[in-house]
Amino acid sequence: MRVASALLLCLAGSLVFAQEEPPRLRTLVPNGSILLVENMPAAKSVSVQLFASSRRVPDTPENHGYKHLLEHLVLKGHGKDLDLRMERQGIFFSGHTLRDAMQIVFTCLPEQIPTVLDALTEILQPLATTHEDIVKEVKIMREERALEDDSERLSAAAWNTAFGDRGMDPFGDPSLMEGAAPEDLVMFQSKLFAANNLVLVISGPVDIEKVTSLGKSFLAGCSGNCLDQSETRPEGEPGRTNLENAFGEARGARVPGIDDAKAAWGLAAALALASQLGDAFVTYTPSAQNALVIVGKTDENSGVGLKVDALTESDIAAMFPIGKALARRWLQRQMETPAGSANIRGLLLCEGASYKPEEMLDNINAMTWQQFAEGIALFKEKQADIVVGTR
Amino acid sequence: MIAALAAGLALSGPTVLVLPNPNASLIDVQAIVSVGTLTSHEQALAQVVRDTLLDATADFNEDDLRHYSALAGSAMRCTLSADHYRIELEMPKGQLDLAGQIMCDVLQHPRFDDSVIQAELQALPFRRRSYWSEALYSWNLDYSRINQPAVEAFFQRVFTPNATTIVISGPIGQLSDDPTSYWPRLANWNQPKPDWRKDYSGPTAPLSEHAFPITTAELYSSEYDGSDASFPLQLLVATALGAGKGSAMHRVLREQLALTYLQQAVVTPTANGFRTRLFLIHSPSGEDSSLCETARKALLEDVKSWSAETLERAIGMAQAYLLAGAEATPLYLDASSPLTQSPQDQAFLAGYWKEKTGNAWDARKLLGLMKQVTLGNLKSTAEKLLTDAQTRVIPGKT
Repeated sequence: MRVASALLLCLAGSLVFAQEEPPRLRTLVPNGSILLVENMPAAKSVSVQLFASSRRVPDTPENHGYKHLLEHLVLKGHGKDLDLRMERQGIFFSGHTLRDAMQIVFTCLPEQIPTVLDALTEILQPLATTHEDIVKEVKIMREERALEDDSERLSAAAWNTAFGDRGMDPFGDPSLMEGAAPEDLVMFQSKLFAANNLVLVISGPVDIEKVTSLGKSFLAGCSGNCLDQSETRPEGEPGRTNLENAFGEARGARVPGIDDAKAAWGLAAALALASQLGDAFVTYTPSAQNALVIVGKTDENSGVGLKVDALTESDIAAMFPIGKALARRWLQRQMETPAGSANIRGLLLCEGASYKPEEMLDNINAMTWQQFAEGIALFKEKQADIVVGTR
Repeated sequence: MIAALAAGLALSGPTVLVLPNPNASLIDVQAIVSVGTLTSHEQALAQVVRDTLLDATADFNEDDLRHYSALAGSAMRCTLSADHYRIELEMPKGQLDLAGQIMCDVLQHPRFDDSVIQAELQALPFRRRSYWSEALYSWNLDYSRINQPAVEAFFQRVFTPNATTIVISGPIGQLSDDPTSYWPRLANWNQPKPDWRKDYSGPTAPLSEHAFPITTAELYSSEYDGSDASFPLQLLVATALGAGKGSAMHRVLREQLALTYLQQAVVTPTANGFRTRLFLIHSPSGEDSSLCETARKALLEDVKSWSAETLERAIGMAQAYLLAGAEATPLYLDASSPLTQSPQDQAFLAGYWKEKTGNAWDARKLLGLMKQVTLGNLKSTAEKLLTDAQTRVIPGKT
């Protein structure tokens, strides 16, 4: 009996020690770039996302909009036909300019990853453009600006209120962009696309080892070392702004980076508030830096603040389980698809190799109702950044 | 990977489609209710129903519904499109019973309290939609004749078992072929007698102006059906014209003429089929009224130059959005957003397509049919669409 028991224990032990293939592998490339490859076997497609971090090349009043303009121009490719060439093969890509990074997103099938990496190599080449091209593109971008909806305008204003020049709208200043010389853009590009600012995330039904090898080769071929100091966003301050070119009301709560549990409390509070307000929006981009969680409405321009400021302790206690569940689900949804997972992981890696969304999930799960109440307090009049649109 | 278990069981009651997915973390239950052709008065009633349906039911009040929604972390929601309602509820694994109780009560016994309806009627005229939603549903509805009995009567007429498809997906294990065995409330849901009363409300008034300083111009096709003979060709034409950055609209209207930042083709449902709509969206200018004709002329000129590469790109783009979930899809089959590759949207598509066309949704088969389209056919269909297209311009507020 004892021998049999010992044998059973040994078998159990060997089963316990059997290793599962990790779902993702992060590689720190010697040139300072970061690679993350994630296997999602049930997914139908692959998301390949390249990020150029703004950490060392932030938006300033002098270059405000260069990042966005660069995104528009480089994505055309050298023959200005990169879209056509990719779409013919069933590959679609788009670019996004965020505060923390420029992001290039490709959707493809697993066997097309090498083609995508070739396309990224082309995009990273020094820009060849003319002043005429710049002026024409900025004309189109003015139209893009005109199409911003009220929630975007309210959110941008809240960031400006909270952080001033350190919270500049990534869209940029069209007048400044129009005056950009081609060589200025090339210089900016060389800094932004320096290897130590690059993060590549590949997520989907992939062989981690093989795709890591492909990704490493690509990143190892990237050059440049941006020596500028990386800057962190300050804590910001409360304030109030009225906007004439938007309608609605928004309240922004300043939160720390996701490694601080307060970010989770703020997010849970925002989602709980939105669920009470009906037809409300919540804007939050996970970041390792100080950031803003915004809740607002665009179908009326009063009521959000009144609702928030009138909340009692018992109201907040009742909202707590809803906020916790909504925040958990919100974050889980980001990580359920290749595109969502690559997006959130890449953005966080732009700030440092150790940041990951699971930290925020742990903080959400551990959150107490008192901590949730602290999250709600961030939206109250005295602490929040308030924007009212009166168009 | 969602594996379709059953083709759907049509009782004299609703069609129920079961799609087990053991890898999913939540049970997803969706009801798709066909609305048929609505008069202008009924369109207004439909909006009110959409906004008040989930307020409370016979067995679940507002707090109950909010609480149960929170279990899964996403609120129960109801959207309205030109041809259907979509009601969606997510529940944690193991709560299929509760999901059934809630969904059946919503479908059969919503409360429509008068105070809720009155509050909704007061809020509606001031409620702002996005410019995109206004462009897609460009009507100006009259809510003045709406009251609680009318809302209730409209609901009873539209929300019938025969007009409803229920899709149950997620970690649900093996379910019986008889849905009433696990959702007994379905057994008590009877098809009402037809209501032969006539509604003589006039045509729906078009929206005269956006609430935003954004102008939307549209060229739209006539209606077509979802059959294999028609839909793949029309979808490929929409793709060639306006899906992706290699499309005609992007190349010509944005890159060459710098007319707009946003321009795209969408395929949206109508009461009896689908329609291709080419949208140009830009800030108001003195040339708003001529924008459609400028676009029509430029696109017709471009179609003449379409080649094998154009066809190849369109098919490649179709592959990207049908199989790989690329975001630049022209399929706007539900509310104001394109469908995604999420399990929830794919479950909706499975139920909706079956209800709408009688066929199972099969993206690979659809792509295969699109690959059979010849260049000649693509060009001639695009030319006809552009030549015959009617136009609509909703100017922006200045």
